[in-house]
Amino acid sequence: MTGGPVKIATGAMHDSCPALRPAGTRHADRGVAQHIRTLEQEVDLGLFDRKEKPKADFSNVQSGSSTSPVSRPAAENARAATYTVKQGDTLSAIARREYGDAGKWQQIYEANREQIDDPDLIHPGQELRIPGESGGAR
Amino acid sequence: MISTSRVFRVLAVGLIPAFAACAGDDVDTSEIDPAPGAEITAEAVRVTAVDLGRAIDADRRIDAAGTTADFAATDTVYASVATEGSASGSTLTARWTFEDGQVVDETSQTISPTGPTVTEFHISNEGGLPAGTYQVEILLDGQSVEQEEFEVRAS
Repeated sequence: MTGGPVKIATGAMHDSCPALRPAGTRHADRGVAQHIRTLEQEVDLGLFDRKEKPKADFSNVQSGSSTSPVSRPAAENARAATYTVKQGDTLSAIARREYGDAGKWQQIYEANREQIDDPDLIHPGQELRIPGESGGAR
Repeated sequence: MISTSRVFRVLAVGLIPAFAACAGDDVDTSEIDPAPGAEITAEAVRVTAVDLGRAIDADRRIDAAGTTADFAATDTVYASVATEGSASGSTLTARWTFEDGQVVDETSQTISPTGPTVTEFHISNEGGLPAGTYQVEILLDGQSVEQEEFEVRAS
């Protein structure tokens, strides 16, 4: 039996309606009424059939978390990863400015081979792609 | 009367961004040592979105097509929490509960954002998550800020 407690009101009904009680059965009735009250209490306590739903087992749950700043949109990255050559620039100077290391000029050279034939000769106005320090797009 | 040091402070605060703009570079402001007495107001960190899904991308986001509140028992359930603002050492917590409040898991992640940040939390169960209704509650420094409900269906 599931659901709410079941009340058996027979005993109470007999107590409140003496007319329903046969003559000479008062003592016997009291015993029955007491028994019914006990049954009522046991039902209220859920001793009959009222089974609790078993708890779900989460002992093997695996969980985790990680966090990172939002990366810049690709279009913004593309804008930041180009450099327009100015008068007097060299690949070494651009590498020093972009990477803080003039020795990384070859990364810029390799990324722009289609428009640079001679690494010692770049022209003002050229749009150079500046790769990430690992070689990928920034 | 304006003191010399105050003039320097104003110049320092005003010119640093101007130089940065001229160079066309982003400047990590965390590396700039503000002039003594300069007022720097940091926006407090706050949760702006919580999305649920079965997978996250490299930015720990769940794309719009991937957001769902309906999972299979064998799925990994991800909660992607977007925050804005800055803080040093805030704690984000995901408290996962099942139906009548049974705690499934509680995971915390310390964040020190300086801008938009995404934090992901996830749960899965080797033998499958029990079917039913779940909730994930997101807390920021112990304060509940978001709550999402989802359903796990038996496989």
